[in-house]
Amino acid sequence: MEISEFELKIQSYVDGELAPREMLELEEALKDSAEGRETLEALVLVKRTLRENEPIALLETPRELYWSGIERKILGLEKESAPVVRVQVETLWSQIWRWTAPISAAGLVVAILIIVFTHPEALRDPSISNPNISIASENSSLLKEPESYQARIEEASETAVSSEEFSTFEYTASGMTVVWLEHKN
Amino acid sequence: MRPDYASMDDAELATTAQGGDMRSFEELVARHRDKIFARAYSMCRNEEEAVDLSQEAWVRSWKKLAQFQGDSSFSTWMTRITINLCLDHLRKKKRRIFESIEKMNEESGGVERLIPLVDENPTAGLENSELRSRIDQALEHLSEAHRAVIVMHEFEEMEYREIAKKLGCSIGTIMSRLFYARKKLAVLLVKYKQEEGL
Repeated sequence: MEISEFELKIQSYVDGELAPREMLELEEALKDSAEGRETLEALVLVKRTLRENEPIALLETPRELYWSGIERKILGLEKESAPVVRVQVETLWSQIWRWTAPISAAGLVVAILIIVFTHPEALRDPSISNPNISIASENSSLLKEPESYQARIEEASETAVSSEEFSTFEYTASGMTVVWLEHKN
Repeated sequence: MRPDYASMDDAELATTAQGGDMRSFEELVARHRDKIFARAYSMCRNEEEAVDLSQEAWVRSWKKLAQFQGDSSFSTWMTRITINLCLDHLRKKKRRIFESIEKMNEESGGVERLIPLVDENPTAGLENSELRSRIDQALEHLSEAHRAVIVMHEFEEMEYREIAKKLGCSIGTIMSRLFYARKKLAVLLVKYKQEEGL
């Protein structure tokens, strides 16, 4: 079945969807069309009948029961939204960590390399770069014999602490002990 | 002190609900639940589904409450949410709401074309309740595509353009669907009247 453009125009007229000029044109056309006027009448009747007599379905669910269903869903939603926030924070942290960890590691490597290339002697003989460090250089056996070195360090440390002539600084990290003895005189 | 929700208008209740006051929202639900249910029912024609869809519409409106600016009435805003939800539901159920126009032509063509749009007034002499019942019965016989257009245009008074946007089709398609749907309703109403007269 094809609907003519004329019929659709009549419907648009009934629905108030025509521009004023189109309305006037249609009204002119309807004067010469009995079929068009019948269609117009029928459409007006159907439209009015429907608008004035909308069937109303009644909700039989008790008010409290109906509301409790809605409330439960809303509260459920709000509970669900909380972990989502935590997950988002965790995700954000893992994103930051993913980028910062390699950058930090690379930075550390670069820093070590700079130190190695700018002060190669520091690796070979600490006493050269810092004359205050004298124990290790004066006692080369300490470097060769860790146990003996440790013993001497402890001894030196104890001695230094108890002596007014020396001050000590002890740093322990990565299984290495550095002792700085400073002569007060 | 507990606010007197019953004395507040919809806009005031919506504003307080936007602030997280669920009791205000409950009052809005109590006021409009029948209409929202009726609209859901008119779209899906299934009572159980209509209850679920209407409740879902309320939940959705709670989530979107911040978007309610009072440009339209709360009732209209809420009804639009319900219609959108029902259309989504119908699409998901793949109930051929977006049937091709050819398919609908077949459905509304044939013998019905030979019958004038309305050859007698199908509403004459009927009580309102009886007329409503017949319209309800006739709506049951429309395809979902036709019914959706009738509900949106006749009951929600939406313009062609707005319906087309919601259904994702052209204004021309909406006009055709509306014409077929009205014609079919008129034919069905006349038929019911004739059957009663026999």
